[in-house]
This record gives sequence, C-alpha cells and structure tokens, in this order.
Amino acid sequence: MVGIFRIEIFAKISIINMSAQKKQMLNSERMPKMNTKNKFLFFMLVAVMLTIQAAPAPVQVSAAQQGPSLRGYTVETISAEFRRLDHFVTFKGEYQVLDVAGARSAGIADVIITLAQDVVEYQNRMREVVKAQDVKDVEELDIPLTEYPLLAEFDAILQDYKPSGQVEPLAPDTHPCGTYSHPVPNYTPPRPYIGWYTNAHNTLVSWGFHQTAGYACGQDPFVPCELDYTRGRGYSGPYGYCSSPRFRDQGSRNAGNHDIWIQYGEPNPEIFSYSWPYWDWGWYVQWWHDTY
Amino acid sequence: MYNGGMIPTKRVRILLSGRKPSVLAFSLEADFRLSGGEKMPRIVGKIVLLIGLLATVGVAGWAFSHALFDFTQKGAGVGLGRVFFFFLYLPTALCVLIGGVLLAFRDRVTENGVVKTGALVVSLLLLLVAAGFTMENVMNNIRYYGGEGALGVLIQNLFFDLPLLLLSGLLFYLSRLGRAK
Repeated sequence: MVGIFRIEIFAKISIINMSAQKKQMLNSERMPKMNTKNKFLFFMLVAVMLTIQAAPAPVQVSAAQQGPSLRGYTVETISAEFRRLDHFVTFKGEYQVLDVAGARSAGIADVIITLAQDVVEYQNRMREVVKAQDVKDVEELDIPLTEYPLLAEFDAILQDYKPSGQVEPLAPDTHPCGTYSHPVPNYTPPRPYIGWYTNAHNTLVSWGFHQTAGYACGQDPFVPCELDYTRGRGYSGPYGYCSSPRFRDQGSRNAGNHDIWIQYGEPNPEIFSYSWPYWDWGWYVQWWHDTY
Repeated sequence: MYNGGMIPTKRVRILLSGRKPSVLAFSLEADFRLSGGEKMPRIVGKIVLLIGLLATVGVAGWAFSHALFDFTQKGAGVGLGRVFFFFLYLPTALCVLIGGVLLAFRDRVTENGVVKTGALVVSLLLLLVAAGFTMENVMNNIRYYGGEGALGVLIQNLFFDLPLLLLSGLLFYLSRLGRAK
C-alpha cells in the first residue's frame, strides 16, 4: 500500500517536472540565451528528476525482502501438508529435526517447509525454556512469535479460523470418529506421491506402517496385502478427537518397490484388530470406504 | 419328536411295525396321533426352509449388487463387504436354511451318508476358519496396535464369529443324526 502511494506521488512529481521542463524548453526557444538563474533552475530540476527516478528502487528491494507468505493457503490445506511432513520430522534426543531435503524431494512447497521449520524451532525452544525454567504448565510460557514470521502469520490465520463442520458440534448424531450423517472426514483425503526410494517396503515399515490385513484391501483374508500399508493413528475432526488406531494413514507402493504414495487420515478398515468406538462402527467403516 | 403328548414315539413305531390283532385299535389310534405329531414340525420346517431360502437369495443379491463376487475389485469397502457376507450374512441365512431342512426332511438327511459326511467336513472347516480369523486378528492387535484392548478385540471377534460357529454346530449336529438314534 505504501509502495503504491509512493509510486503515485512520484508519477505526479514526474509529470510536474516534465511540464516544467517543457515550459523551460519553450522559454529557451523564445529566449535563445539562458541566464545563470535559469541554468541553475534547470540543473536543479534535472537533479530532482534523477533523484525521483532513483527513489522507487528501495520499494522494490523491500518487496523482495518480504519473504515467503502463506497467501493462498487455508488451515485445511496447511494441515494436509503438515500430515505429509509427518515422517520427515524425527527426534534427535529430545529435540525435533526436520528433514528439509527429504521434504523437498517429496514435492512439498518451500513455504510449507519454512513454516514447518518455524514450528519445529518454536517447539524446540519451548522445550528448552521449560527445561531451563522448570515450567510445569506449557500455557505459562510466553515466547514471542516475532522471530518466526510464518508461524506468526499462521497463528493469525488460526485466530480467524472457524471450522466449517463445527456448526453443530453437539448434535446427537455426531461422534468424534464420524457417523453416517456426519462422516469424518467428509471428503476423500488426498493421496500425494511421496517419492522414489530404493526399497519402498522397508521405508514404509521404518515409518511405522505394516502390511494391511487381507480383508481390509479386498484380498484373501488370511494373506496380508502386498502393496497396501496401514499406520494406525488418532484423528482430530470437527466433532472431537477419535483415538488411535480407529483411523489410519494408508501407504501404498508400486510393484517395483520404489514409489510411495500416502493417504492421510481415514477410518481404519482393519476393524477386527481394534476395539470399536461404537457398536456399528464396522458397518460405518465399510460405508465410508464405499462412499469416499 | 412330538407325538401328541401320550405315547413315546419309539413305542408307537414298535407297535406299528408289529401290528397284532389285539392291539389293532390302539395302534390305529397311535398312527393317527403320529401323523398329526410329525406334520407340525414338517410344516414349521418348510416355512423355516422357505425363509432361509429367501434370506440366502437376498444376501446373495446384496453381494452381487456390491460386486463382491467380482474378485478383480479391490479396496477396503469391497473387502469389508466380503467379510460381512461370508462371515455374517451368509452363515446366518444358511443357519435358517439348514434348520428348516433338519425340521422338514430329517429322515432323508439321516439316511443320506454323503450329506452327513459333507456336513461334518464343512463343519470342521468352518470352525477352523473362525478360529484362524479370530487368532489372526488378535495377533495383529498385539503386533501392530500394542495389544490395546486385546481382550475386547477377542470378545468382539468371537461375537462376530457367532453365525459361523452356529452354522458349524448345526452342520456337526446334522452329521451326527444317524448315530443319535
């Protein structure tokens, strides 16, 4: 806004200067010889014009220095991207480490990686402060977000965020794990390509996945699925938190054992290997997978 | 077996097989009672059999409509549908069907050795399938989900296996009919 305002002012001044210059030229036609005073004025005008033309440069520099922005992202898209980053965040001792190169190779946008770095750094700092000051309650911590510009921007987005599904959180036919009338999630989760690995099976297993039970991928119920993998997890939906392992991340690899795709957050179809949150959960899971 | 509540069935049959003039009047009365006593279970059996047939056709239709027999179809929805069909819906319908057969055509089943042997084999296989499936699921719970609610998972699986276990028991009973007599 300030930049545009400045440019407008500079344009007006330039027009004024141009007209002044023109007048001067006309005058010089009328008066072939310029006196010292006019010469001084002319040089002053040229100097002012040169200064004005040089002036917009700092505006361009400041725009370049603004850095990445979360413009175009929503809480939902950022959350989905964060789920893709799950296995790129590991613990080194007590502190979290983000595998930036791995995340980049998985095709995750730089702005999301930078935001994730902010989150990881902020959380590590929280841990440090808690340790140093022996703080019992995390809410007592007051670490300013000024050093984490993207996290501050994300925080601002979160302040204004109202989840669309929270319009009737206490409706009787809702459940944190989802129901027929209020399924969780009520869309097909994206299934991004994660990347190329020398041994996709071992990579998925190292990320906490296991081969899905045969019945849960439509194969022989006594033989685990070959290319389909499951990692049990909980899920924070619009109606609350559904505990692990009622949801899962679904990993899949190609027959060549190199390419990996992961779908984050869907009802876990291994329904006979965990206790159900409510009595007809099994039928609901079948319905969900038929629908989405 | 129902015999009118007066004369034990075996005794009536003995009376009927060796009809003596002295007991003719009595045996005729018994004959009448026997026919009335056997009719009821047979009629009930035929009704149950019809219900079982309709149920079997119904669940088979449901399975076809969900493409469960198209084994090229993969995915969680189809997979779970197959489990529900083979472990729950079909065994339940078959339980009713076989119950009807036992009530309506008990004599024929008793006399047929092939049916009895087949029933025994299928019964044992169903038992193995139910036990294997339950064990595998409980093992998966321990292996992949840290044994979270393992006892609950076991009870849940046994409950889910009930139709299969019931069918297995019914077939086993059917296979032992001749020996019971």
